[in-house]
Amino acid sequence: MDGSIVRRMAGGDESALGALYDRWADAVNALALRIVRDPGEAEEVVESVFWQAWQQASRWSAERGSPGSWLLAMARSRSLDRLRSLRRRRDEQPADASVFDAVPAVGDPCAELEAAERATRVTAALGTLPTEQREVLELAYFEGLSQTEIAERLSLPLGTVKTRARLALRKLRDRLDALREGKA
Amino acid sequence: MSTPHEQDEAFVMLPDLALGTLPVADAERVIAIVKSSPRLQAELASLRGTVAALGSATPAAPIDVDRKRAMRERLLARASGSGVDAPVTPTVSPVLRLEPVAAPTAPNAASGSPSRSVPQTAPATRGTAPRILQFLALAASGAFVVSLWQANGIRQERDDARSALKAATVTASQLSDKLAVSDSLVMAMSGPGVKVYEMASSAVRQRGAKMFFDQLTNRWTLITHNLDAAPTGRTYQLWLVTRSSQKISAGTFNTDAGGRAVVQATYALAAADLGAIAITEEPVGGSPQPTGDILIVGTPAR
Repeated sequence: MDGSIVRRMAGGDESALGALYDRWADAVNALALRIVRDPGEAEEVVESVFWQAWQQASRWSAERGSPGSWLLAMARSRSLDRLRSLRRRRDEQPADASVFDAVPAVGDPCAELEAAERATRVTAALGTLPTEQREVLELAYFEGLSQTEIAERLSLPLGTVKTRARLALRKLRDRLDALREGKA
Repeated sequence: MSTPHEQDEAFVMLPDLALGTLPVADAERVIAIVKSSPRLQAELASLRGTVAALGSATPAAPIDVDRKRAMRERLLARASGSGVDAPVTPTVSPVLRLEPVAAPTAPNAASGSPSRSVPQTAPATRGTAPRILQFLALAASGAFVVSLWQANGIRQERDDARSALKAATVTASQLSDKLAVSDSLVMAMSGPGVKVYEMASSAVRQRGAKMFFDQLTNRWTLITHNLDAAPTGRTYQLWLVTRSSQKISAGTFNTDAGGRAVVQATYALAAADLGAIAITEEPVGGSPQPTGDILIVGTPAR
């Protein structure tokens, strides 16, 4: 479904942009907010991601992943750019989990349901990883830290960080496959 | 061609590559090995899919309904090329207050004191009443006209305020976009894994370009200078030429009046595999392979 929407966008159908936005805006916002930790900044990321999607719709192809993965990859890239830019502009603030607490529970019910199912599946798979492996994975993905930076942040040897990250990602992949096939 | 041992080593490092945590030099080496092995390519694609799925593991964060709607309208307005953005936030319509305008009181009628012209006797009242009513009607009409005039004034102020707000909103949105683009450009040109290639023209000395390649994100950013706008019906096309002479189109573009253009493209190519970067002039829409002369070219320093 998303694939045909993006193809319509590539053909210049503006209503398709609206449809993609309706389906994915909240999920993109959730990821951006998780990374930049500022609702205003996150919304700017959301708008820029959908604008980029509109402009680059003709470049998307199914071989490069689903439109959702494409959007989330753009959101992650733009959010990390923005996070690094923010870090340059101000002293880095420690992660504040409270930003996730007060979000309005409104939106498109179907899109929300799909997003919730996706989130549940990935969160469940993440939950099966040992805490120390999950931590390394999250620092790499959500904060864009390099292996060396993660080692410094966690006061761990570099080799340990590498081992944990590699184990974590492969385990997560296997676990997601199992959940998708209904084996778990 | 890579050896089985190199492929095994690369296989171990694929999660790092998929996560983007690998140092640039290692990433280049691993990418080169992956290209020679379908098994490694499949494993990398699978791991990249898993990394993409991580983006879903975030607490739900729906955008506020009004802001979401306004953002949607803005995007669609931009997409339609109308050039006029939708308002960012729904504005509360100013309440149109029609202040009660006191009707001019009839001379002496409100004074409460007897008057020579309006005697208080019944017969006299019968004779002057139509005139008083006429006067009151005229006064009411006058008050109505004044009210209309005031209402129009208020409406005009409201419309002016709305226009000003809309203009400010559009400006803020445009500035925000520009800032985001600037941030993105700064990162693409100054990140830790960015390589810079100088490009020059053999025909026109002042004409040139710089290419910035962010190896961590595979983002290519080209900035030209002193390149005149392409003739009507023609466009410029950017090419990445591999060491094996494969020519990969990185998009078409044109320059502004100052001969400047900023072009961005994303393409995974190990820096070691890059043979040259070239700009040619092609028919509008671009060509599958270069057909025009090379106007500007750059090669990596070896």
